Amino acid sequence: MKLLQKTNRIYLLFSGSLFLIAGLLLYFLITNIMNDEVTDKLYVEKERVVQQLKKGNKINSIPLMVEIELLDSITKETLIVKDTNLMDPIEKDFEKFRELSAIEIIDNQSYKITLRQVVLEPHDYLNSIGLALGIVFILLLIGLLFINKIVSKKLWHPFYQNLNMLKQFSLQDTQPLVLKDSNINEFRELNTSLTQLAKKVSSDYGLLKEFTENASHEIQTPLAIIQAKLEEALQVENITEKQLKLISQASSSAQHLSKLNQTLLLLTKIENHQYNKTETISLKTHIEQQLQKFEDFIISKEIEVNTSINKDILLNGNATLIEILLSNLIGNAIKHNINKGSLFIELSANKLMITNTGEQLEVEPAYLFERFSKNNSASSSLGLGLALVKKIIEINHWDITYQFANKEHIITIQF
Amino acid sequence: MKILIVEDEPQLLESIDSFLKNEGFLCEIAPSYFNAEDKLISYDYDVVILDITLPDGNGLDLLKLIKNNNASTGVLIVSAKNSLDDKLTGLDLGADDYITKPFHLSELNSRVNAIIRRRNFKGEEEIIFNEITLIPSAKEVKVNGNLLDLTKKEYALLLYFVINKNRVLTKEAIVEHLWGDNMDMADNFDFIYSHIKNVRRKIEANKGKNYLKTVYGIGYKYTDT
Repeated sequence: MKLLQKTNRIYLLFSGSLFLIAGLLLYFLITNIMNDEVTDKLYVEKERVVQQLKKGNKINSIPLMVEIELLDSITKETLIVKDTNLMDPIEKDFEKFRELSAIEIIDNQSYKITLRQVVLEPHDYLNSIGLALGIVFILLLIGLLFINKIVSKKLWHPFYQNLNMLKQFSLQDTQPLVLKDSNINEFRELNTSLTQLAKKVSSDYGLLKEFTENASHEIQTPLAIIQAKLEEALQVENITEKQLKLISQASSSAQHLSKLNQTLLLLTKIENHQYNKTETISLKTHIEQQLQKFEDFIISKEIEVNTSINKDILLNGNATLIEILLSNLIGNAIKHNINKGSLFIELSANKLMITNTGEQLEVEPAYLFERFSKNNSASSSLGLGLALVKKIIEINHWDITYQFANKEHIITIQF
Repeated sequence: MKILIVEDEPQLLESIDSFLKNEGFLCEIAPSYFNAEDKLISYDYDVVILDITLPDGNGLDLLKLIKNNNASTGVLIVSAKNSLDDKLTGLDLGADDYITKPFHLSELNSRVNAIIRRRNFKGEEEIIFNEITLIPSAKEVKVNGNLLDLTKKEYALLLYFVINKNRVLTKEAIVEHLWGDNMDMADNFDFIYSHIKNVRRKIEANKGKNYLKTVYGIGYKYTDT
């Protein structure tokens, strides 16, 4: 829910209750005032009647309103005020009346004076109050909506604009985060904090990057020493078979570590856009080069290679990256192929499809392109090849999909 | 053959030094930029093995110095950075070859030998190992005077063995030499065996001896002892 909606909801709830309270207050006050007024009027009228009677004037009765009756005997003076419902013969309806009935002794005569006043029914004016307040409430609602629209358009505009910029902010871009200034204190404060945060994160990221690169390079030298020493150890005369094996295993691991290190460094470099030199690249030429490079492996596994290259694709990209991409994909298609298997490379319009026979993967296809996701954890492969592929696909904004059907792995790249 | 090894890491320097001396080269060492500059101004070398990341200076500047002083000196750049830019800059400045740390000493040996062949003898040298003669300029091999019909890979394999004779060569080192270091292809190295078998068959067909000894589980050794 938007902040504005939320505050509006609270405002409306609050003003709604206020309106309700106002309505009730109005109702009770009006009822009270009218009651008092009607009763007062009856008293005054009674006094008037009494005065006229005292003067000896004759007063005609008006049905329902004024009724004067001369009583036979002298009775005690009384005064009763009450409400009563009577049939109004004119309106032909029951009406509520306030009735004052008094017995007055005037000139030794007892009169029964009954005066009545129509009392306004509460529902008559309750509706009016409701209507009036309702209209005002609706006006308030419309007003609020209107104001909100303007507010969110004008006041919140820089906020949304900055939000967009934040969404687009990437550490891998070298551009600093520049937010639109606002004259609202809260936004300004937010902007300052965000800009500082971005600056800090960028610099930390830069340091980390630098550290990773430096560390990777620094690791290579001790690895080179290990490699050289182990190789020297291999040449020692009269070495036992067991010792040879130990040295060779240590040497293999040192090489594995070194390759791992180099590949991670390569990934970092790609992420850092250090391969940004682009040129026009013929995919056909590169595919043919790769197939030639892997010739020995293809022959050794007796893999049947077929290509269908109807039309060469010319891409604008970095030659090194394209080479890494194709080398990894075609390499995989050979390495994970079965003996006497097949490899089919199809290049069409804007699509490269590499299909090869092979065993079904144990790893979930969804994790296939993740770092260190290996089909066989015991294998000597680094588990970084497809991560490299994915990274290259990403920075070129291409698309890659993997399928397994009929014992064939199918990798499709959409350029 | 006089070689100068410029390397700031003493352990590695020592290994390279003793290895190349063992191969019959005359080696001098320079553990720093300053030291190397001093030696390069005073003496001539056939080959300089140059680590370009030195604590007291840029190895590429030394490369310029070498090329200005004596253009016939071969230079093999050693770098911890497997970076194409460094490689291209190095080669542009006149380096003969580029090797990335870590490397196999046998690989270093092959590269140094290749540089020497290219530079000093303009490729006209013959490498002779008993009845086997390799002619690098033509990429040809003769056994007892008979020309062998070898594929490119078979030739490279034999050359690698002969250059690194009497050494235990691991399968990894052989694969890396022949198929480059991007090859984490080789879950097993069986396919080397077919190449080795072919070379041996072709040599034996011309009454050559089989000098290749299998070092069980590790690799091979080319030796006549």
